Amino acid sequence: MAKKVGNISEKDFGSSTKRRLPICFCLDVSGSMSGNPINELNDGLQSFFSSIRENDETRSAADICIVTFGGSVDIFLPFGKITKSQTIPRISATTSLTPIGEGILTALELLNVRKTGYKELGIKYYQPWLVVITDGAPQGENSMENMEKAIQAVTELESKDRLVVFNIGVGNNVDFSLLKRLSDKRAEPISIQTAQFGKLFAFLGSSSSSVVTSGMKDDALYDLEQHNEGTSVAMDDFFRTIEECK
Amino acid sequence: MADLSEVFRGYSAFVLDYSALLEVGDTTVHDELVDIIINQEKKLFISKSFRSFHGCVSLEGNPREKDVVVCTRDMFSRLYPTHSIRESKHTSTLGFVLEHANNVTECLFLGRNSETLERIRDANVTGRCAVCVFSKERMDLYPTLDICLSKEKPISVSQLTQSNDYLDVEVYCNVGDIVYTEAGEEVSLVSKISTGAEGIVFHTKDPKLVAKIYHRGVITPLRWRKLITMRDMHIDAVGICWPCELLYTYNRVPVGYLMKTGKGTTLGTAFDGPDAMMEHFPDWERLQVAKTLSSTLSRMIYLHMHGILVGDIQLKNAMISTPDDVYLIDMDSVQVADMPCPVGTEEFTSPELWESSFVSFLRKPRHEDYSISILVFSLLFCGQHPYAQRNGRETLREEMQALAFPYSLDGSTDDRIPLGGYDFIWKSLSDRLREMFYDTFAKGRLYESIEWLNAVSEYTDMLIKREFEDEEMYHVFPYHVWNAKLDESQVNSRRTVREAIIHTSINDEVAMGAAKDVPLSSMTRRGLDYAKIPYSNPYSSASASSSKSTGKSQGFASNNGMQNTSSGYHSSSSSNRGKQAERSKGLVEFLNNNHQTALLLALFAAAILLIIILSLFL
Repeated sequence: MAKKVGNISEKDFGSSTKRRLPICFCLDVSGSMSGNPINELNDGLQSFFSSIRENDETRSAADICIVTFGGSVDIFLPFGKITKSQTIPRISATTSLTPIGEGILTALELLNVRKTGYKELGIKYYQPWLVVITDGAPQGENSMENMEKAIQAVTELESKDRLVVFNIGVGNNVDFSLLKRLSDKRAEPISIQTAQFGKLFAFLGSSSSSVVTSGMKDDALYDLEQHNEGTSVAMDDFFRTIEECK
Repeated sequence: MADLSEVFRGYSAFVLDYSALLEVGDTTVHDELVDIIINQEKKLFISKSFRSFHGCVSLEGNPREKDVVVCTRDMFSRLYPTHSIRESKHTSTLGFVLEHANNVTECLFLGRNSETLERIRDANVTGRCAVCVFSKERMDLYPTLDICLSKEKPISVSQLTQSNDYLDVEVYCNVGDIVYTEAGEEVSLVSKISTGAEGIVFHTKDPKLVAKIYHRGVITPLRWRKLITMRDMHIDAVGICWPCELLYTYNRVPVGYLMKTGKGTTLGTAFDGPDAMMEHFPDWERLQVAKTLSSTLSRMIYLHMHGILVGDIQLKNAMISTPDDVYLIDMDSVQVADMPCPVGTEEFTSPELWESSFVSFLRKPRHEDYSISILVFSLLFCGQHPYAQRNGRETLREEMQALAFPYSLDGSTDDRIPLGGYDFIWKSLSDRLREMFYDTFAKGRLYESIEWLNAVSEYTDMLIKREFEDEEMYHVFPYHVWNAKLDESQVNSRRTVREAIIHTSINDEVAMGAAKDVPLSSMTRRGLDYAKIPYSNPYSSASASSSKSTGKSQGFASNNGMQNTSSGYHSSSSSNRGKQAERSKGLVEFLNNNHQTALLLALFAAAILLIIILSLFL
């Protein structure tokens, strides 16, 4: 697996004129994720990828990178153009600790380098998304120190509208108070159970498509409840409303 | 109707807006007006864009407007010999109206639902000329324009926009199902074409028609009333996929609509930079690009003439199979009568609307003018946005608000133009288009869509008549890799060069500064030499320093620097070693063609030299 930081080449950026949406997934692959959780995560990611791939708009606009943390921090998938035939390998869990902070710092660095590339080439872009998914709390050497640094860096970018943060906790062993501090804009971290990975990634997929194709504003991304602000009406009332307005 | 010859006796001239003809097209009013003009020796003023408007109507070939086209042609063939027609010097509708607004002896003819009337209102035009407003049913003559505007009230946004209701009926339509038209005719959903946020589009048994079926909860009273209104407008146009029938389930639950099939690929997919253009239309020249733009604009103007604003203008909302075969799709979002277009993207929307909720107000023609100008630029520049630029502000939003247009009439801001050959597209345009773009995007002036169409037609003529001396100007991407037969090795060297440039310009500013004094010719030669010398990835040091806190990422960052070196220039070099000489030749050609890139390349070369010299000392 190639590890890359900041490999800027036209090939990686493609010649598309689309406004890019850089998304960096920062995924927990520590020991606790092994077994069913990592399978569900993989399934979710795969369907996310295929939804991006099948849509002409998101395929050239979404710019995706995956950083995993579990023992070490790895760049599982570097940024690059998604092609119609591209598949991503499945992620496997490790047996070790959870360096969340380090993972996030790496993700920020990658996003920053990517943005520098856009600016250099003159590619327009949306503000990047950072999607952090963890099922635990920071572990390992200097982990708390790094986590504090990560929180500071992330919230600073977020407050300047330079980053959209999805802080997602899986299961019941998450340090939610710490995870919450990753975003000042999101009232509570997104809390899901393993079985809801599919739904989560479907939401991320449709949200990215809404941003790219219908200009959905970033604020909407902090409002997970897709509340259908309307009253459901039956046929009679529906046609009456139309008639009354004629 | 009253005896028109008496009604109009007091006026010396008629000022004819095309919209009036659309309303009276299939009546005898045409002939009566011509008789009056001839018998009473009146003048007929028309705008310089009159022919263009007529072209838009005749191109769409709406069977219901066949009479309009024929009558207009007859009318003019009768009037030309009498020398009563006067063509304005103004191409803009507003300019034409302003020219005549205060001539009390003239009478302006307008259509009631016309964009022209809306423009006059929006620009607060006052005037003392008489106005005759036509609709299919009636004709109203007002003694002055001011009185006309006080009587012909603007429509206000539909109350239905306030409603939060949506139709919630458990309906699932899928392949194999049958839905019904209002008249009860069966429509089979044969296969899926695409799934969107609002619904699914299906093939039907009739290859000329497709069905859009909405997802559950998407149909609101506003949406359905808009579809009813649209269907009743009978926009049966060649290139507009307009709702022609509403669709229901067997028990009369509204589910969607039937429309003409659009052919080809979306403009957004094809007009997406050089690679996408080459993939879809390898044999195209600039002429085909300009023609595609003309077709698209013409169809949109046709809608404007019927009082419709497209609203959500985007490249993905049109399809193309050939430059003359362009189809406007996703029409259910347009602004019709008092029903707004509820959607839109920042990139194509006038900044003054960004903070508004699109569903809450009716857009004005000038808002559409803004979107059209972005569309014109984007198509001529193969997908590029006018405000995309190098090393600009943090967001596109800020660029648009600041009118930070990276292209200039004197070439002084060329370094801000996105890489990829767009600077040469800019230089290959007609002077008029360049000036209009500059006025629009750097000065904030608006041109009407018809003015854009005229300017594009003029450019198209220049291309057809081969008026440009430089043959490169006919390429889709002038002075850029566009020849499909181009040697693969040339492509590789180009990519590598660019990669190198990017690395240099981000990180080696000092080195670049030093390189600026080197003469161009010697630098390009050094650039060639440098293609053979491996370079270390500046990012390895950059990322290591920025990730001091994370020991491990520092580790992989430097490791990665090596990775880059091997995956960058050298991979292409090793795969093509035998073609080294050939590639160098290709590179020379490339450099000769692309001066700006050559300069950057030279700067890069000098920077690397400096690094090597430094490292020798260390």
